[in-house]
Amino acid sequence: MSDALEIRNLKVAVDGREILKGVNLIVPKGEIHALMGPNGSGKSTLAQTLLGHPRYEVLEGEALWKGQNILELSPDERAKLGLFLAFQHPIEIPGVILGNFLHIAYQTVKGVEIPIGQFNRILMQKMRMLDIDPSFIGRGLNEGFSGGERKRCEILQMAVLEPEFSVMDETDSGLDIDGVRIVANAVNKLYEQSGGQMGFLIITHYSRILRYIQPLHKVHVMMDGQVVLSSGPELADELEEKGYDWLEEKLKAEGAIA
Amino acid sequence: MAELVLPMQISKEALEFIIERNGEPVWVQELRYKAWDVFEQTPMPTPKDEEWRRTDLKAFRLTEYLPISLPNYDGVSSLDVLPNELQVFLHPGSEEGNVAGLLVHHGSKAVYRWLSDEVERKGVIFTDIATALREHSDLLNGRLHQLVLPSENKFVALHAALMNSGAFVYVPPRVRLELPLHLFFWLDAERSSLFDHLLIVADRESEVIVMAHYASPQGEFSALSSGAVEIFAEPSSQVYFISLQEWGNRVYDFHFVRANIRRDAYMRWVLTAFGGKLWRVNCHSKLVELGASTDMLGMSVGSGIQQFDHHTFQEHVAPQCKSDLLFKVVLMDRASSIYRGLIKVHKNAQGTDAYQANRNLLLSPKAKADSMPLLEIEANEVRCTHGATIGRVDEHQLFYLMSRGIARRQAEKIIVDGFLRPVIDKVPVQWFGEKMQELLDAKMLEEAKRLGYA
Repeated sequence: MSDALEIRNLKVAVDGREILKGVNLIVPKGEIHALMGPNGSGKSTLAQTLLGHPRYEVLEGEALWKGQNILELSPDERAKLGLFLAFQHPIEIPGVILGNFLHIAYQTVKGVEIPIGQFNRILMQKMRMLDIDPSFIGRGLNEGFSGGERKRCEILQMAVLEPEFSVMDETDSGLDIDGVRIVANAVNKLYEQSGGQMGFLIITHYSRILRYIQPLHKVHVMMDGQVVLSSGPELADELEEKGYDWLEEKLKAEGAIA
Repeated sequence: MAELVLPMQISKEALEFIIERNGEPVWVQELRYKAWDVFEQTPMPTPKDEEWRRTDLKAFRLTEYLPISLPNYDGVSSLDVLPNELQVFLHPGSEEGNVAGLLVHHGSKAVYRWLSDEVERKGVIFTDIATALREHSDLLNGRLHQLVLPSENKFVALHAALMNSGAFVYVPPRVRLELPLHLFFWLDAERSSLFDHLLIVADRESEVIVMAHYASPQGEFSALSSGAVEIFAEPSSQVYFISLQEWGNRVYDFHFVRANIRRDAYMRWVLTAFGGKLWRVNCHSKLVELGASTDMLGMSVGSGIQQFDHHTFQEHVAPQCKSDLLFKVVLMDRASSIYRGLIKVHKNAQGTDAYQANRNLLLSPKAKADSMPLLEIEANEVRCTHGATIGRVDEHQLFYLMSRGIARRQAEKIIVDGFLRPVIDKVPVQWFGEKMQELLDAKMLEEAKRLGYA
């Protein structure tokens, strides 16, 4: 078994329409990869499929992690295997207190029992690290949160649950440049704290967040439901400068895509 | 005095028995006889009556119930000598230091009463209804059954005629009770009836929390309950009425609760129901003077074939009053709920601010909920909004929680807890709110077991 998240020929449909048309992608543990692509290329479908949203129907292929095809597992089982998804649109769950919820999630993911007081100390420490207001703890989960607060709350959950592999679905979208920096810094910190053991798949439309990610190992580009190009981090800047249309035409000319 | 023979049927003899046993003043006797006449003249409601259209009374027979039940012991002076099955409901929380007063009914008999010396010295009256009718007749006359009228339907008439238990609370002007007054009703005689009446008078600028807690054996046990609550919130008073109903699943309960809210007074209802075959509640806040306000909260959690029937009435009689209503319902298995809520704004009630929401969460494909919001607005400068939702657990919410490692059943439970939190958070006594949470936990666990998940 390889120490990586390995996606093989993944085909996924939503409401009967095929969105992913054979995705192949390998992200080794200990590496930070970016997945870029134009809107509608299937990036978010891939993210949601990796954690098992029931709306996404797997037609073919597999996603291997720790020797298992995770596509056969329920979302909570995937989380217990160390996978995490930072949502593009975090869900509001009224009345569910963030601190209590994270306490439950922490215990199930880690398979330990820990008193709430002791857990709160961990939580406060993570909040300090991410410069998050302590009043967050007592609030309803994403209830009445601004867009920026929701994204920060995702980062906080990731920091607390300490996954081995995190899929970040356009966490940078809708944030101003300070917000983007905070997210990037958090990724860098968590990566560092894991001793370079964590894996990341950072899904984004824009390259600006990638400029702050250290280290960024690879950039993949997705178009029309397939990964069409994988390259070094310099690709992100090139895309920023020339746009996806440029790449699409280039690849067509090369006969790489139809 | 000749030996009284306990009547075995709902009948005029039962009425006479109760009058004799309590030694009631003439005006109460007259009230009872008049109510009895109404009861006899009023036919049993049928699905043809608009208000009863969706209430299932097919299996209900009044003749099957005893009008009164009296345990074979007299009042006790210590909680510790009460029967064990009753004591378990009273811990923790009901002990001295947690409440200002406690009144325990076993069947129709008030068996234990305690009121803190400090509160008694302030002039607070807290006693069972039979004693109150003898000793405080002047305070009750002109109030008893002036809000909940025996003429309004058959069950209220029956209640008024055979009222066999209950309490009277009087809080003098400017007396503010920090601790709650707790009423506990334990009904364990098979096929018996509880017709409890709670009359609460909060005088000017006073403040009081009253908690009413109803329980019976579970399982095969059947009984009938038809209670009434009348609350007089005098100017600038603050009244909190919190009820917790955990009857066995074969008990029928018809409850009528009403408050008359005067100038700048505030009334909060939190009505919660877990048990009963049928729980039918009519809750009415009448805002009669300038600046009065009310919060009306309800929480019903049903399973099996339980039926909950909620009727609410936010009545704005005076200008510049505020009412805010939130009734939340969670249904499992084949349980069902009806909600029918009216906001009425009288012609004179300019500046009314009224809000009404009924939210239903269905946890099984066979659970059923109906919601009927009604508005009757005669004034022109008002703000009235209402909303009703009937839905299942949101798949996106479930996925979100599961993606954090939480298993499906637990995620569902977390969502239900969150759904009901806005109601439980409004219970001003923490341990009583915790009791509700425990009942919710137990009920959901029982359902999970039935479905083979736990």
